[in-house]
Amino acid sequence: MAAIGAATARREPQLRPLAAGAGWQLAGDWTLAQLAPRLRELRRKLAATSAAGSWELDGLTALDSAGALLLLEAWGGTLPAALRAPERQRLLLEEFAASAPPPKLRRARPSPAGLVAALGDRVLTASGQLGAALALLGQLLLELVAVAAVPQRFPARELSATLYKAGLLALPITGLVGLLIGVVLSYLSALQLKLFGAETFIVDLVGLATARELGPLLAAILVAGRSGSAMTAELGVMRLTEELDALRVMGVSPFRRLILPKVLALGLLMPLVAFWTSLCGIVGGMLVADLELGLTFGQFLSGLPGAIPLGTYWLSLWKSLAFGLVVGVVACFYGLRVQPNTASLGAETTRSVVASITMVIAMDALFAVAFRDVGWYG
Amino acid sequence: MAEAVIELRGIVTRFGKRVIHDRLDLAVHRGEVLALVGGSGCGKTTLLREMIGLQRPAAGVVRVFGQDPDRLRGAERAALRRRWGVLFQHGALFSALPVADNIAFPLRETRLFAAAEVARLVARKLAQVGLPPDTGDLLPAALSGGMIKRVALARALALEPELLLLDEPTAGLDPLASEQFVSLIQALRAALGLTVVLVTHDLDTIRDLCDRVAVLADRGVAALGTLAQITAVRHPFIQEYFLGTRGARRVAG
Repeated sequence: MAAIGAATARREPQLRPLAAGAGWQLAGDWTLAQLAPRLRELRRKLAATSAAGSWELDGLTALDSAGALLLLEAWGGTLPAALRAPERQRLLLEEFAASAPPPKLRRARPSPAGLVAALGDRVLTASGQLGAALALLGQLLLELVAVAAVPQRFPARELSATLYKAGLLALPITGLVGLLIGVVLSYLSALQLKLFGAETFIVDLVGLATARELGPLLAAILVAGRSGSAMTAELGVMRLTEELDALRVMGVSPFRRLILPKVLALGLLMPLVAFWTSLCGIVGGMLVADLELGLTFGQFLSGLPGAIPLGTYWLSLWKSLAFGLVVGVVACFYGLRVQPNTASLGAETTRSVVASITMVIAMDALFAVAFRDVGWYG
Repeated sequence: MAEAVIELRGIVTRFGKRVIHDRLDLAVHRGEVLALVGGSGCGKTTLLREMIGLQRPAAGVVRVFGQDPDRLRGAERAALRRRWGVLFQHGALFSALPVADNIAFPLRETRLFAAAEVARLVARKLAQVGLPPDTGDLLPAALSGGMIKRVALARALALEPELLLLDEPTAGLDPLASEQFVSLIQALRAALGLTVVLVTHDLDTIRDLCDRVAVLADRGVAALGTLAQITAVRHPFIQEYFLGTRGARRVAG
């Protein structure tokens, strides 16, 4: 090992003025590893030199690109006239000096015209996306018709897998969130209702709010965040690894095999999950009503049928069905847009979740306005 | 005897209960090109990963440039890591960065160079691996298999390493591209005085590029030497690998 230590002992890079006349002498290893710790000092020394003098590089034991770069910078990009160097080193320096200046890595700064172009670009991209989304919807409808004609080709296994993964496995988290929201809602309303002596109206308030709005909305948002993102990432990676192409080559339509069952499963499971979330919200509200207002479970439950008409249930079921389909289509749409790089996978997944939650809330507002006369007593 | 750049002594590697290497010894000399050859699953890539400290053997000593990469910390470890460059099997280019930024990445990490200098060095590295300068703007996804290997090689060379580790450098390349890649490595080795360790399945690469071959079999190094020495060894795997009908053609050629 001692011999190895001696053999690897490196020579410090050195720059010395020549004893006689204007000139400089280099010695040691001018390599990145040796230059790095002394770079600042050497740059300073090199800045004080001039290419006009004579340069003696015979003492160089090694030279790499980093060393050559430093020297050429000191010389102003060309080799000095009076240069003495070993053949190999001279060759490297000549090659480096002759190499073309690197092309610009960065794009030009934005100009007003560029801004207009960027805006136009955005509009075109957006309309292109809209078209692509419509095409996806149309393709799904066609697949649905095709599958309806030959029901035994229906991808039942994929449907059931999605029902299990996105539905059953989502029950704990949706239940917990529903329960907690029910507790919060009931607690806040109880404080207000007590002021007016209208304690029994807590049943109407909590029951209607959870069954009509909060249940479907919370379920859709949680499923979008939980399963929508997963679907986007899954399809995206399958696109990157050419698995979608492999399916196509085998004559299996990825739309039928992967996307259709996912979208249908989300449509099927969303009403169920929403109902479950509403149920948990009502349980949470009932607990607080008992603790805060002394309203027993029996009293609460017997008040429920009077508070929530059947129409409200129907409304929230249909609403959830629509939410589920939208979350599924949006997730798959963004999954198919993933470009072959890691940043795009992350970006499209984020976009998918943001877009599906936004669309769910927008649709909820639409439903609220369109069905304002449905599901009330009196 | 030449100085050892990498020294492995008594390496034991286990995956669960499966023993991959059992007290394996190997030394890589300065300036040589050494090929690691062996059947599938005999732990070639694993051995490569252990050399550079990406994976720790269950027992044994790893020394690279006389130091144990696992024992070093902080600046010393970083300094040692700068002395080797690694070409991963699938390139491992950062897919979100253009080619130029991929090569510039290790240079920028050193914080030694100004932006213009980095650009100049990147252009130099691209030229060294035989790629046109405008390749720099492309994203890795737009590159062909051979170009990915070249860019990955340029990135591995960015910090001027003394030791180059190549994992299947010619796998997935067509014969012409793989021949070009081999001559590229030969040229770089001559110009930069590199020590090269490569894992390969390709007999042409071994014949054209390698000074010595280490055959991994039976959980250790079954044979070590020049191609001629190796083929003289009576070992069932070696006989089949180098002297089967397919192999014999290549070795003789």
